[in-house]
Amino acid sequence: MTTPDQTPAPVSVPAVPHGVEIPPEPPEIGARALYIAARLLAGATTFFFVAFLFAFFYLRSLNQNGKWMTAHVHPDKTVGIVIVICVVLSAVAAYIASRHMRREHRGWLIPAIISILLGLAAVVVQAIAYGSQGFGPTDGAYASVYVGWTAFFMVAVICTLYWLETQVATELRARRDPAHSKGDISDPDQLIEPGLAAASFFWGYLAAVGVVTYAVLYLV
Amino acid sequence: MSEPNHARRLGAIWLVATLIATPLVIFVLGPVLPPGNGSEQASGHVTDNTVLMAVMTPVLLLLIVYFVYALVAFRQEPGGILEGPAIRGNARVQIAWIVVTSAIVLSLAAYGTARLLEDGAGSGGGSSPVVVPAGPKLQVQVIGQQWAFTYRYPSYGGVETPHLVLPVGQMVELHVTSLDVVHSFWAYQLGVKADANPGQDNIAFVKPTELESFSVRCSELCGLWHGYMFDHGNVVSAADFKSWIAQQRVKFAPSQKLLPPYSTTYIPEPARRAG
Amino acid sequence: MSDTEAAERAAMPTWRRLLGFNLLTAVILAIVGYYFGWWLGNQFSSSSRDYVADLDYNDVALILAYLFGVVGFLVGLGFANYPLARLIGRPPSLRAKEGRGVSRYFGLCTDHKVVGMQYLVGIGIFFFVGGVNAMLIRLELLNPTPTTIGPSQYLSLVGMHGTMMMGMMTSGILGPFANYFVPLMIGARRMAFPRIEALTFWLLMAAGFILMSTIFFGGFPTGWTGYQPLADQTVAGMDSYLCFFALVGLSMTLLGLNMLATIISLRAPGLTWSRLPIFVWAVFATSILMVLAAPMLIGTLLMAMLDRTIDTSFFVAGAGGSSFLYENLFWFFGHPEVYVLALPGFGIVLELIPVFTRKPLWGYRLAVAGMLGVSLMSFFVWQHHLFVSGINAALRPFYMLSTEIISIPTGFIFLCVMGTLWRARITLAVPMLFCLGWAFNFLIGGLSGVFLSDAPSDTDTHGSFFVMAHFHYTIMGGLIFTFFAAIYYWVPKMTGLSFNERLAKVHFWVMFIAFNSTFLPLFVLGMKGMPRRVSTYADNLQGLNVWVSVSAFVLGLSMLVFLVNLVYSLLIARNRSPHNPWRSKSLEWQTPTPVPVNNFEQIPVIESDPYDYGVPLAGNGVS
Repeated sequence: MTTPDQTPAPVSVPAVPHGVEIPPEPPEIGARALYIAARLLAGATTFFFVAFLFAFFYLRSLNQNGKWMTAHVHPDKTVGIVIVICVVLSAVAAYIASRHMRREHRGWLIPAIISILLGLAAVVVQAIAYGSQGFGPTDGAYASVYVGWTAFFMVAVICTLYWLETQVATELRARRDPAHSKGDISDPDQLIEPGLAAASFFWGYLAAVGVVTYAVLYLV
Repeated sequence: MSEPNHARRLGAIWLVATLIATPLVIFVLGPVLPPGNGSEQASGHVTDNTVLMAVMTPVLLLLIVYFVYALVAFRQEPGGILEGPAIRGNARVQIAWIVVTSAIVLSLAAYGTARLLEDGAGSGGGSSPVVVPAGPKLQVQVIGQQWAFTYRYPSYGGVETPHLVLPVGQMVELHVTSLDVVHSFWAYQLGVKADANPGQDNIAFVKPTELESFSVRCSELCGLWHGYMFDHGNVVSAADFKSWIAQQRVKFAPSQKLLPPYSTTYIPEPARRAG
Repeated sequence: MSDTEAAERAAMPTWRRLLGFNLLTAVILAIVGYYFGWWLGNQFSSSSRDYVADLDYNDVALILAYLFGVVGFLVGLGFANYPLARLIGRPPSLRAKEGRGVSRYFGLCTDHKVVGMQYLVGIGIFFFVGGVNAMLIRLELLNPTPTTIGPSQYLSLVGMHGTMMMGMMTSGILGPFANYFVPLMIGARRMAFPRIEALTFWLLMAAGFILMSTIFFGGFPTGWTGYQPLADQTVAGMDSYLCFFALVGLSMTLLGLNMLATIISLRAPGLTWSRLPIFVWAVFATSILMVLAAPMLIGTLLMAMLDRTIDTSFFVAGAGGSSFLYENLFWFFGHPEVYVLALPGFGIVLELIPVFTRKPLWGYRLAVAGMLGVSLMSFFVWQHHLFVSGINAALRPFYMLSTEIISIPTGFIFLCVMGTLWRARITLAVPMLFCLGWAFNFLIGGLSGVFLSDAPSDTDTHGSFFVMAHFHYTIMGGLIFTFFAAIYYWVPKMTGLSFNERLAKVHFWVMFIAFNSTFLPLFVLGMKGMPRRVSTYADNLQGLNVWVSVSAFVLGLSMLVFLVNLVYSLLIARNRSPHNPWRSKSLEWQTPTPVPVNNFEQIPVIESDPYDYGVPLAGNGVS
């Protein structure tokens, strides 16, 4: 039932003589990795914010020591509505930019820039709200969840806007400086398309998180 | 080539080992398993631990016998380069394994659930336990704070005592709570363990059955002197308990006036850490 | 780096060569960042005083100091260069796999093989520190009353040992071995995101130093679980724990994300999912847990930091928070975390056993199902850590059931190991010994878990030395034994040098016997009522405790045997290892040693799974 080990190796590793140039990997590999990474990042981000979602409902149901929402905690609904509108419109603009890009439409830059500005507007509104809302982190459990959740949501928003911005910056650089387009950016579309697709997907996802965030914080 | 029937040999060795070991586990090891017979709940745990031991003995033996057998019987000769048979699986064995392990773990879960729902098994059951033993119960509150447990008896004017004394043969309803951080009330000989959480009431039931002294320890890390948070309690006769509690009420009458009224939870001031 | 560049560099004066993005700059910027953060924090927050610990502390200043210190460290290493280049529109680029020689091991390097080696050494150092902590703990427990170490230092040691092991060793196998070998096993030239790969390592190193710095701020008394509200009350050493674990969480998330993206998108042609080496499957299952569970930890620790700095009240009962919230959130991460530690071990064992039995892996699909099943199930069992806590007590039957059920997929792994041993040609080489050690240890660990998963029985064992022995059997017996199996199996490939086999066997036997002699009695101690994390215990338990301590010292000694072997074999004797000493058929062994920078000159085409051992039997019931 046994014979000496003579079976061939199960894989073929073709030997290439030294000095032969290693062929570059096909460009779609990087694009595919980025596509997958954006979705995985969405998964990770979900669980991050689920911690706050859970904290919200858990502390609300316990209402320890009657300190869930103390008397002077009155979140201003207009703030939430404005932020949600900014974030959703921004995500829609990013989606439009990504669609234009896929169809090799040169006009994608405008919606992309609009998207970034709208996103920044949301961050600014939230920052103003912290100062004018009339309650701070020490005012009970609701205020704690509010401050923590919105602050880290805004951090996530800023990071995503950075991601979008890098795509815009690459395009601007390629356009502004034709010399460069021959130099370090030979084919801007091929560079930008997967990045923009991934960034706009993630921004769309984060906008959905934003809708949930503000719906829970202001309406529940 | 004549190979011995390995499967049959293995089965025989395992069967003999199991037939010898399992009764030993049940009848020799079982009675000395913790936590003893200090209460109905503790006795229940001894039974549970014995059952679990008895179930896992054949499993443990099967794997150990198999591994030892394989290491003895299926060896490469020193320096040899022989290959084994290319067996990549066996559907029947796999299905049998899945069925048997599923049956074992599901019956263990069913057994555990049944035992838990019998009387709460002395474990902390939250503020509204699903299982409440019938009959009259003596309420005792256990208050954890850094680094001691104190006890209040609401049916005796809410007197607070530094030591725990319980009457024998009486179902006790322990309300465990904390004034600061998370502690865990562990009365080892009584088979009781329940976490003490600030702002939460955690109820456990226990019925002491033996007149004995029992140890009380904190079993959740609660800071610097966690290791020193231990004491001894006593199970006494009903008459002794009556005289003891009367004594305590007299002894602690002065401090009683300063205590907040009895409540299932307390939030001391300031409500958060100072500074 | 081209030859002319190298020559130019060599001609520079020494001070000029020291400038640049390297470890020295990183350390300097880390210190600068640290003091900047400290100064900034003191601008808008005043310090508190803890009279028990006789210590002034300022949480805001310390957390900012750590934050800016880490940022400075990463900037110094050169991690900011690429994001800033993208910000101004430079095109994305894969940094050239820079440098040769030793210097690339001390900085940002995107070669997955360099990162693997960095991880192995870096994690090894912290494992050693954690081990020394354990020795000190056992030293204290020689006596039932505190002698050598005070209660405060004792708790800090317990906390540091637990946190170091649980934090650093989560990447114990994925860090060194998955980074090094997953691309080789799947026929890829690199990881999907090489810069992120390097980042995970340096984050982990920064985190390790932050944890060790806790001794300057009064340590922390909470153990590795960091339970609230104790963690809210205590001194600034707690901030070290929070920052450490948050950084580890970030590192874990990114590591898992990178692994998943690599395994999904960079497999060589022909490497279908059903041909994937089982170790890669284990990495896949582990990475899912890392990506999904670790963010929960980060969120939880950020809440804890907010509680300590800006006085929110997530976990403070008097102000509307709840200790239950922390316990729920922590264990929702904490239980998958346990399987993050166990699953890579499964993968190593299943990967190595076919090589040393000269048989194909028995029940490949079952093994994959087992690992994915464990991975999925581990999200549904967390409240078994809270059976006596009073949380959702009515749900205990459910968690009992789910916990019992998770042992079914774990059982698959055992069945596959046993099936592979059947009628095999076993060689007891050192890696195989460690795999068999795993089988015994994990068996004991798994069966003792039955007591803990049973809610009535858990009443006795919860929070005692029993549970401590249980998780040392599963984690040390499961992870560390396979960690050493992997070292003895793969380091000859990584370095081209072979270990001294006699010393390696001595290491195994001393470690195996001392390990069991240390932890088996702990089950008894737990059953006799000794709680965890105490520096004082009942007098009648001293005999067993002394036995355990002495065994633990011998266990520590076995690690020294390993270190001696490491130094002797890799630095002094330097015996060249045969090209494929185990006659493995796996892809990583088919590459030349040392592995070229781009791994494969041509991407291989895979035609079968890597377990093509053994001689086919004429169809007698073989499926």
